[in-house]
Amino acid sequence: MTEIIICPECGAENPEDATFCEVCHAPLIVDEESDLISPKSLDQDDFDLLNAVEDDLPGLLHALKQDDQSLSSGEGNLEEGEPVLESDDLFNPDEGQEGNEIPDWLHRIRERASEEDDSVGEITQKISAAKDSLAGEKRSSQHESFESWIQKLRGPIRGMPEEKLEEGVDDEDTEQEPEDVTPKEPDWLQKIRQAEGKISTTDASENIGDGEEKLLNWLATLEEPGEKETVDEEDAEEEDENTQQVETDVSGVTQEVAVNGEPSFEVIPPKLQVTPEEKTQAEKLASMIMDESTPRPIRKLKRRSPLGSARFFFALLLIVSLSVSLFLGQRGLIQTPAIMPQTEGFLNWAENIPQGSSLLLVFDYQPAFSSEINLIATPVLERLAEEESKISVISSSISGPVLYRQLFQGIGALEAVSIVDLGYFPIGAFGAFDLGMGFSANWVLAGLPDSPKNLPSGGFDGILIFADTYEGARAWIEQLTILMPETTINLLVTDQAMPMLMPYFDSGQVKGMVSGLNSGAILESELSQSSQTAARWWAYQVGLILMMGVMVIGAIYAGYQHKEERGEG
Amino acid sequence: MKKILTIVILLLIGLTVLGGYFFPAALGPLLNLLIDWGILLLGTAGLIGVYYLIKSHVGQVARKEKKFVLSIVLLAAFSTTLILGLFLSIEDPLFIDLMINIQTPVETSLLAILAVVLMTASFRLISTQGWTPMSIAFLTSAVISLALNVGAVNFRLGTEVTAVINYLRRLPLIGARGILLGMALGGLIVGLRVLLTIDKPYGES
Repeated sequence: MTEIIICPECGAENPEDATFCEVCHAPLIVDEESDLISPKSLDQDDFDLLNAVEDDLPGLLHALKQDDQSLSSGEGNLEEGEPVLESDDLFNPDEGQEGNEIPDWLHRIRERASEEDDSVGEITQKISAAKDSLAGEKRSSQHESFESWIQKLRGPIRGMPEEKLEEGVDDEDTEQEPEDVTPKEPDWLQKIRQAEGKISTTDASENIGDGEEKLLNWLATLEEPGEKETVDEEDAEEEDENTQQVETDVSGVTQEVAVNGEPSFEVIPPKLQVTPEEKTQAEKLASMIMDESTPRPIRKLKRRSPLGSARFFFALLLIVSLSVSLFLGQRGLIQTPAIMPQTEGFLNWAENIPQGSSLLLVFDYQPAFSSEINLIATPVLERLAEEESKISVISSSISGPVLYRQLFQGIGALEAVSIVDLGYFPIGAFGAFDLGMGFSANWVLAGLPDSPKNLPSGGFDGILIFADTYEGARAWIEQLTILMPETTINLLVTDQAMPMLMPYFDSGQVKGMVSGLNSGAILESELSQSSQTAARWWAYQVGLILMMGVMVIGAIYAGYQHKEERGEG
Repeated sequence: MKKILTIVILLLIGLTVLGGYFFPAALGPLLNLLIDWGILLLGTAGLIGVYYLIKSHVGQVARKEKKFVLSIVLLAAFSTTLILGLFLSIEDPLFIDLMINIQTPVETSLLAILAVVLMTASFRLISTQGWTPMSIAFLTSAVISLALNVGAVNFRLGTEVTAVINYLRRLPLIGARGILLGMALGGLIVGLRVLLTIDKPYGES
C-alpha cells in the first residue's frame, strides 16, 4: 500500500517522495515512525494501538479537518474508498476495532473476564484496569504533545510570525503573566475548558475560529471520556492540581500528602484495637523471628540469691545422703515390698527354667541404662548359667553386642555359657514389613557384626527382652508374638518403660515383667543371695525422698518469689 | 519435568510398598530390593551428616570461635572412636573398656542432669506463672509419682487403697496412649497425603 506524508504545517497529504508540501510548500520534516500512516498500526494489539493513535494524531486531525471541510462545502480531500477514521473508534480501541481486528480468543477472554472472577478473569480485569490507566496517561501526555502543534495551528490564525512559533508556550505565558507564581495551566487547555463551559469566557481569548473551536470541542471530549456529564467544577479544580482519585475500600481511607511538592496519596490503614498484652506478645514474637540469636525472655537467676546458702546445703545433703546410703549397703526402706502380678509371673518363669533350655535374649537398651539393667538382670542370668542354658543373642541397639558382653562378663559367665550371637537387627529402622519378610541384605562388611538374614522363627523355649524404652520392646513383642506364638516372652525393662508395656502383660502376650530397682530387689531376694540391688534400691529411695523435699520447698519459695516480684507479698 | 519425575518415583515406590502388604508373595523380592536401596540411602545420608558435622567443627576450630575447645574434644573423640573401631573391631577388650568406662558414665550423668534440669524447670514455671491451677497440678502429680516410685506406700494387694495406687500408677497411661493414638492417626494421614501428592516434602522450597 502506498504511504503518504502528512504536512506538519497544514496537514495536507503528500506523496511519499515529496520533500516540500504541495499545498503550503513547507518543508516536510519526515519522522518515519510518527508521520507515516501504516496499515500495520491498525493491526496491533490494544496497547500498540494506543501508541499508534498517539503517533497518528496529525493524520487524525487532518482527517477531522477534511471531514469538517467536507461537511461545510460538500467536498472532501479523502480518496474514494479510503476508510474514514472516527475519533471515538481511534481512541476507544476496545470498541472501535473489536469486531473486525480483535481475534475471537481475545474476545472470549474479555467476555469471560467481564462475567467471571476466577484467576483468568482477575488477570484480565487487572490488565483492563491497567490499560485504562495507561490510556488516561496517554491522553494526558498526548495533550501535552498537542501543545506545540496546536500552538502552531493557532499562530497563523492569530497572525503570529513564524519565528514566534518556535518559542514555547511557557515563554509566552511568562511574558504575559510574569508575576504568576502558581503553576498556570496551558493556554490550549483553558480554551478546551472554555469550550466545555467549565470556566467563564471572560478570561478566554477572543479570536478563536470555528474550525479551531470544533477541534477544541473534540479535544475536550477526549479530555474526560465517559465523565462528561458527572464532572463538576470541583473535579476541574482537582484536575488542575494534578491530583487523581484513588479508590478506597471500606476499611481504609485516603489522604492527600504532598511529597516533594507533588501531591500523592497515602492509604491510611484502619485503626486496630490492640491490647498491651497482645502488643507485648507481638514484640516478643517479632524479636524471636527477626533474630534467633537474641536472648530469650527468660529471667536470669540472681547470682547472689538469698537462698544461695540453702541451695548449697541441699546439694551437699543430697550428695552425702546418696553416698552414705550407697556405701553402707543397707537394705531397702521397705523390707518386704508387695509383689506385683507381672513380677510374680516373671518369677514363676525364672524359677521353672528347664536345664539346658534354649533361650533368645534381645538387647534393646542404651549404655546409659546399663547400670539399672545389669542390676536387675544379674539374678536371672546367674540362674540361666546354673541351668546351662543355650543362649542366642540378638541386638537392636548399636552398642548391644558390647553391652551383652559386659553383662555376662560381670557375672563371670561369658566363657561358661554357650552364646550364639545372631547379630545386629535394627528393628526400628527396618519397620514391621521387613520383620515379616526377612532381612535380605546380601553384603557383609569386614569387621562389622553380621546381620541376620532372617529373624529367628522358632526353636526357643523362652524369650527374654532387655529394653530401656517401650518403643523397642513393643516392636519385638508384636513381631515375635506372631513369629513364635507358642514361645513365652518375658520382659526385663527399666522403670520408665513399664507403664506403657503393662497392656501386653494384661493381654497375655507377655508372661512376666520386671521393671526398675523395686522389682529388681524382689527378684534378687527370691533368686539370689546377693544384696547389690537392695543397696542400690535403698539409695534410690533416699534420693527420691530428697528430691521430693527439694521440689516442694523449691516450689513454695518460687511461688513467694513470684508474689514479691508482682508486689503482692 | 523434574517435579513430575519426582512424583512418579514417589507414587511407584509408595504404591509398591503398600501393595506388598496385600500381595507379599508377588511383590516380596521387589520390596526387599527397595528396602536395600533405602538402607543404602540412609547410610549415605549418615555419611553426609558426619561430613558436615566434622566440617562445621573443623571450621569452628580454624576460626577459633567461642567454645572451640569443645569442638576439639568432639573431633578427638570422633577420631579415636573411628580409628579404634576400624582397626580393633568392637570385640576387642580395649574398645569395650573404652566404651563402657567412658560412654556409659557420660550418658548416665546426662540422665542425672536431666532430672535436675526438669526440677529447676518446674521451679521456673512457678516463679514465672505463680500459683496457678496448672502449676499446682503439675507439681502435685510430680510429687505423687515420685512417692509411688519410692515404694514407701505399699499395701497388701486386694485392698481398696492398693486399687487406688494402681490407678494412680496407670494414670499417665491415659495421656501417653492418647498421644500414641494421635501420632498413629497423624502418621496415617501424612502418609496418605504424600501418596496422593497433596503434600510434597521431597524438594519443595
